Amino acid sequence: MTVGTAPRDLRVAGARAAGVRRLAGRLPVALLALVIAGLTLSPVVAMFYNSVHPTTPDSGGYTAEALKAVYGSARVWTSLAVTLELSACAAVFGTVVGGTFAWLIARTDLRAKGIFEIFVLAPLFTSPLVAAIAWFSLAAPQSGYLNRIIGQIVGHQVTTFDITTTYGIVWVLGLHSMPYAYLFIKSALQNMDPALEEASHANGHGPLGTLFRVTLPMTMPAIAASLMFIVVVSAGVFSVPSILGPRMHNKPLPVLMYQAITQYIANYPRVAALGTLLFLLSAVLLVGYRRLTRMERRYATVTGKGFRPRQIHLGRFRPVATTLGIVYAIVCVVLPNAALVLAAVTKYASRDLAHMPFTWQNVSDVLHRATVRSALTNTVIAVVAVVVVVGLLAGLSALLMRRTSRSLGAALDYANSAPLAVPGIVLSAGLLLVYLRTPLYATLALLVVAYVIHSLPNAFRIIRTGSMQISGELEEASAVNGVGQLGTLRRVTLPLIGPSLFGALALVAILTIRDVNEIILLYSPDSQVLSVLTWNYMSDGSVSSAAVIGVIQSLLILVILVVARLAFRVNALVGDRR
Amino acid sequence: MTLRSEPRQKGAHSTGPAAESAALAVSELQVSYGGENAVDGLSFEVARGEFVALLGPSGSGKTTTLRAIAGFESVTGGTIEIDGRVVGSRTARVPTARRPINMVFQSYAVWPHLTVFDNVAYGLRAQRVAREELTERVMEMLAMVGMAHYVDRHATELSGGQQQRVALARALVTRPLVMLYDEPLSNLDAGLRAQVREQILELHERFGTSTLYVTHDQSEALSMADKVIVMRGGVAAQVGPPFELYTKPADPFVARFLGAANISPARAAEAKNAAATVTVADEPTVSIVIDNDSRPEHAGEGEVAVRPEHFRVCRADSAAAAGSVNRWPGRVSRVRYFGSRFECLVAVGGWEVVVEAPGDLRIETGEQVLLSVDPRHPVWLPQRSSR
Repeated sequence: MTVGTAPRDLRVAGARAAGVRRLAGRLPVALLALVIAGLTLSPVVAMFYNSVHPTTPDSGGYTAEALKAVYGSARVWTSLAVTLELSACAAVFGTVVGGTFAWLIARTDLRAKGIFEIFVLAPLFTSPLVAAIAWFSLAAPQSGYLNRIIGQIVGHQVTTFDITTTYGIVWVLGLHSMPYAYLFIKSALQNMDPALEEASHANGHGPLGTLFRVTLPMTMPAIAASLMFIVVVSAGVFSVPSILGPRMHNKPLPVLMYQAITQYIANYPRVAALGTLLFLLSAVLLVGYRRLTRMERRYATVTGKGFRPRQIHLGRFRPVATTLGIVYAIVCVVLPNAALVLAAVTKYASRDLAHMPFTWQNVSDVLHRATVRSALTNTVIAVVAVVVVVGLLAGLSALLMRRTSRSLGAALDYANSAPLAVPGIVLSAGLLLVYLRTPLYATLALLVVAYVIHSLPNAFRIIRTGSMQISGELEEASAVNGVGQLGTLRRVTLPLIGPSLFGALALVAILTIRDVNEIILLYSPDSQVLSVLTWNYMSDGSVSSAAVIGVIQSLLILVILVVARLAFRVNALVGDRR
Repeated sequence: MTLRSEPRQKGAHSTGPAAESAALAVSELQVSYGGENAVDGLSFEVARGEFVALLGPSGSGKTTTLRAIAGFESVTGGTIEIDGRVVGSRTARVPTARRPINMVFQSYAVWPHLTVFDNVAYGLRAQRVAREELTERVMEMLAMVGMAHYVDRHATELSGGQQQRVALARALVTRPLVMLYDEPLSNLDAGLRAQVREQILELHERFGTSTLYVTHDQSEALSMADKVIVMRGGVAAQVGPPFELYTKPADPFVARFLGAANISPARAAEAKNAAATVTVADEPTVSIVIDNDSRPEHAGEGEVAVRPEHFRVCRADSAAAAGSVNRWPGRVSRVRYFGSRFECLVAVGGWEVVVEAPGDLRIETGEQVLLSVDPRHPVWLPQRSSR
């Protein structure tokens, strides 16, 4: 019997059987995509819904009042402009610094690159909030350590350095997001075939000409992607402008949102309306970001042979570059962290630097508080829970993406990546609106949900990248050797994905210890975690208590980094074996 | 021969009943992606112990065919039988792991997280071979491919050639009924390619495993296979032993794909006797006498193919040029030297042909030469209505 002569109904039956088989294979994937999409999209949906349909008991039905109040207010639009301005400046600043370091470390013969890289990535391991506290301790007008040193020398109080300005906010936000720029641009530089630059040299262009004609244009998608990414992240940060910008006349949007909830009577419709505005801003930026990263993939030249990126000889500029790196390390990493530790172990009130009463009293007082202990326990519980849930969701998604159809793969990708478009404070507000009337409200579980959503895209991208690098033939080779799908998963796929999985989970743990914007509207006195406590102490004006908690958070993160490096031989953030 | 008769172990059914059935039989195979047929009604067999090459340009469906046989692609029509048992059709699909095959990949696919030993032992562990026998067989196999002292290395510490030898050992150690090769040499450098090619043939002679070998390199197919299937557009353009394919290509596509050929439109006259005469369209003064199976029996349009090495070249003034038929004066318009031979472009009036000349002849551009062709060599390719 040949195909051509097969009865029609037989062929249809065959096709139907194949169709059913395919559907049965796709159903679980579709379900997973739906569950994740439900999880990640519900806060946004709730926000849009609540902005037109207040759920307070006294109001019934739809009303555009809150939307009118927000979208019709000149003050809100000014606030949006301020948000954009702060974020954009931070993005440019962070990208210039991070891009320079990426180029120096990826492409030049700079010495001690490993050490410089640690300092470049260091800001990632403290939260923006803790960084703001550190910089506040270092450079607050009059009371900051730098001003006190100068004041001591000149004999009166000075405000030579002032971090509590717009510039200060940009400085802290920019420095904090600089490592993202570094990672984006470095990977673009490393993936570039050095032959492209060599061809430019062969065509008569020197190092500078090649940099501007070949290297920079080829890196442009990565640079632009980094700018967009930093704008979105910075636009959702309420803590830094809250601490460093009390004197600002026009507060940025995240601060307005925080105030709308924490004022005497919480205004849910207003926070929802403000949230939609901030979300739309990020969504527009994210669409641009996705287009650019897609373009970047097109720029990537894939060659079968591994290559070593060309090293540019800095020559007499090498000491300059080294000095620059050292100055950065001291000013941007060592000084603020030293100030943080100093603030933790001194009585802040003392003006006289010569007689600073170093004391562990402060530290031990803080550590003995019941709230601190329960916050520490809560943090550990949250970290474990978030790591497990994100590991399952992101891991399964990345694994299933290898086998499923293109459209379902795209659905998984979107569901996992959606939270990138939701700035931290918006996520917090959205979750508040979703779970306000559920038993989950004011529990630690809700914080876990927030952290899961927040860290899902980051973890997913790392695991997916790792999983994409594994050629399908490695799994096929297992099948032809007589090992079934589960065996292949256990013996080939998982061991190969392992490093990126562990790297991603280490990052998830760090984000969960560190970040506060995503949960600031969700905690209750019983479900406080360390980052919330830091914020509360700081907003109560108790800088040294806040500094102690900040130091504890940093130590926890350090432990995770060291464990990830030693136990799993992986680098958090990138997930590659070193 | 002793190894050949050992019971094979991979797969669920180890006692193959029908000894007379082909190791692999593909009939009317159809594989389609999104409405387009990558493979469109292909049929062929691999007899026991036979080495068959699937040869074709990219997009001809050869790799898709191999992957369907391995079970990586869904079959949309026709059947794939291994050892007399249907493993793939529209309705049945035996999972890859349970097909009595093994495969060598273009990218080697040696697992980077396992040592050389564990890579080779992988399939035997799936068969639950006892430890001592496993170690013995793995070491024996590694010795055969010359990788015995690399047992503890990881794949990342091996060169491409070494990785491909590990992959070869890994596949053969499971004693598959059918070995599948997916362009195994194309990622290797020229020197290594010859080495690994010899290794594959040596192991084939030793184990006598039925083999299907996909390649786009005609010299690989000709030098390795018992039978070559030339593929085009998802179907077999021609099937046959290498010698037959090379000397009697069925159409211009096969003639061009297997080595170089001068193919010119021509017109055949009515055959008068045993030999036929065709006239080259570009140069009506050139008539070629054909005296082999391909000669046209009726008058008509078609193409005539002459391989460069079938021309005999001598200087116009030399007396050596003998014979009365198929002899033409020409002018050399381009010369390329390859050490052992020259490749010249010669114009016989409007008929331009590439010819090969011995390396010691020292022909130069602009020279007048005499070309001759034995009437046994030119191939007549009649025009097909389907083209």
